Amino acid sequence: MRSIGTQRLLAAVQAVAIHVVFGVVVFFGLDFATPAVQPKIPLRIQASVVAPAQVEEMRERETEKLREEAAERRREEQRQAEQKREAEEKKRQEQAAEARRRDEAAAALKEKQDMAARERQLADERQRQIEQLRAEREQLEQQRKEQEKEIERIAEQRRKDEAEKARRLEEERQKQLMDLENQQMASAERVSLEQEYFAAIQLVVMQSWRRPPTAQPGLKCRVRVDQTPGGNVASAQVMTGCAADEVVKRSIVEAIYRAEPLPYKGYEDVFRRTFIFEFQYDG
Amino acid sequence: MYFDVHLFLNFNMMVDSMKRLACIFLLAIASLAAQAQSDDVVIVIPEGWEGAVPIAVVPFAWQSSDPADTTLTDVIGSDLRRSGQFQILPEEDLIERPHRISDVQFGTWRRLEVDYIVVGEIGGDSEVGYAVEWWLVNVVTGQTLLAQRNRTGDLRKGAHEIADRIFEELLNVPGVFSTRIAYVTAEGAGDDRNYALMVADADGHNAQSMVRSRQPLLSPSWSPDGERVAYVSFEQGNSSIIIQEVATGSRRAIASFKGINGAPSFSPDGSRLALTLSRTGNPEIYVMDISSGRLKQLTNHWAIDTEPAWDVDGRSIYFTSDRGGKPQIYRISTIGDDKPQRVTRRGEYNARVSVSPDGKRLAMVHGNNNDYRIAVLDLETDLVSVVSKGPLDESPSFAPNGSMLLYASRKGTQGVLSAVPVLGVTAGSQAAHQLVFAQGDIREPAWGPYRR
Repeated sequence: MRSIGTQRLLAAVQAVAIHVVFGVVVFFGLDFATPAVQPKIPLRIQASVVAPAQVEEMRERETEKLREEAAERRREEQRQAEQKREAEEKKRQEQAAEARRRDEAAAALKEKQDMAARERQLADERQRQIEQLRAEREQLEQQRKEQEKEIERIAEQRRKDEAEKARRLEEERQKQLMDLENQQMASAERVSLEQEYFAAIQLVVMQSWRRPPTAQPGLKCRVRVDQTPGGNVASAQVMTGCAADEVVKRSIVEAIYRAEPLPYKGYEDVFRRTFIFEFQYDG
Repeated sequence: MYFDVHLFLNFNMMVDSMKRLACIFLLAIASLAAQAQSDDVVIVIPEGWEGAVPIAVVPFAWQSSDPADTTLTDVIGSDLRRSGQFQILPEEDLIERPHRISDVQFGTWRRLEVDYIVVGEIGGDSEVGYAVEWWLVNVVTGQTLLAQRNRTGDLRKGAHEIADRIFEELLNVPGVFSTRIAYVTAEGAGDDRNYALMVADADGHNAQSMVRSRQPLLSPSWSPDGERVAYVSFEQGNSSIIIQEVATGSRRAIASFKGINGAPSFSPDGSRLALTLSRTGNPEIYVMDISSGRLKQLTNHWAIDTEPAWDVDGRSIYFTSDRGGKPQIYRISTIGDDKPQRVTRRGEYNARVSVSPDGKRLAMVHGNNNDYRIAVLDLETDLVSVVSKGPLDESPSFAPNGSMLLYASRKGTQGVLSAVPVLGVTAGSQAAHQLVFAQGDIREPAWGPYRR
């Protein structure tokens, strides 16, 4: 059996324990008071002896805590007030900035409009200048043409004079050049250009002749071709005596037209209106 | 007045772009006889060049109430292209699409370097028949070569007819696009093998079977009128030669002798059949009068004589014989009793001859070292030109205009048919065109005659 002292002490310990529990709850919040943890607390307290001084200290700590909480609340209120002020300040600044931006944009737009107006002015000015230049150029062109005409007229006159002179000289020369050898040389030069002309025509017609597979070896067909100065074919007629089928005859006429325009430039002096081509195939 | 050709060599210094060519040409010219006869200058054109005819086929305007269909112009284009004689302007180069002759701008087509253009319109419908109005125009001279109206119930058939007309107009050789071909197909393997004798359009479309058999069918040969086909059948166990009407399908066996009955070939007049029989114990060439059944034996030799083919005049027959050791082509008269003359001299193996319609060329299987290709022998020059790529090509058959050869070749385990152009210098230079067919092992093609 226990003594009364022991019982009192036990009661005191229990009272303290209850306070401690209460204190702990207040201190650490309800998180600590989970059902699973709660039974352990009396056991732990039961194992130690708590002095009254300690109890007093605990109470003081508790009030201290409450004071601190009150102070904390005040600080919090101050902080919120501070934030609100800051927010208001920020908003004011933003509004100011927005107003600034609007002013700047308006200024820029005006600047742009002014610039466009200036550019239009410049463009109009340029256009006027161009038109003026064009008019001047046309005038100059007109003058130049007139000059050219004049030059041409003069040149023509000069050519005529020269030709007349040359003719007279040539007449004289011809009179002098009575010897046979010189005459033959002049003739040979002319023949050589003519040969080139014929060869040039031969080449283009040869390259233009796609021979059908029915062309028989021994083929010999003539075609008479009339051309105009410049080398355009006026007509191409297969001559009688062509022992080929219609397809081959057509290929011959096509070769002439495909070669159009026939060589002309550089051969004006030896140009011939009519040619006869002889198409051959020897297999 | 004659001009010395050597002076012309100076000329190449003047013509810049053609300088080199000019030099070569001018050196090659034997005689540039620019000669004056009563004031006319005659310029000789001693050369030309051969090549495919450049042509544009503009899709015809579709004025039918049927849904739009490009079959007609597609088929005209592919027919002409397949012949090897034409170069078709690609569809994307058709920068203008005239439909009537009045819309044709000659300058445009000359710039595109085509010589001819085909334009037209299609009206009507499949019920009443299509009405095709079309023109063939020479772009170089501006001349209209053909202006025609065709009625057709079938666009493919109509296209073949138009392609035939264009081919003939531009090459002076009748087209063969409306003709038919015969061939043998084999399907399945072992005991389930099924054979069929087929007849199809020349491009391989519209294939229809003439006869089906579980026993082999071989060697179809067309009668000259295109109404009958002779072939070898094993339906009775032993081989026999059958003649069958293409239109009605009615048929009769005309040779069922002991031993081989093989390789029938109609004479050019259609009254006789050359064939191979081994009733005496050895394969020999015979000629049978079809109406009387009377036989005449042409060869008598211990070697194998087979695969007879008539010369165009019907007076002699080409055939394959190994009497010289290896198979070669020989020729024997059908009239006299002359000894056979050997025809082929080049190559270790020449067989299965087909005679060109003009009788001037022979097509045959030409073998060297187990490589078998189709070759054409020019009987005038004795030159052989190989026209197929091998390695196992067989059964050459001339088109009735001699412009193409049909033959069979192996592709993997299957037999396929190909057609290759053999007209003019372009012969053999172009790739063979493989015909489109349904599945099956295809062999032994025979090109039918012109259709009436």
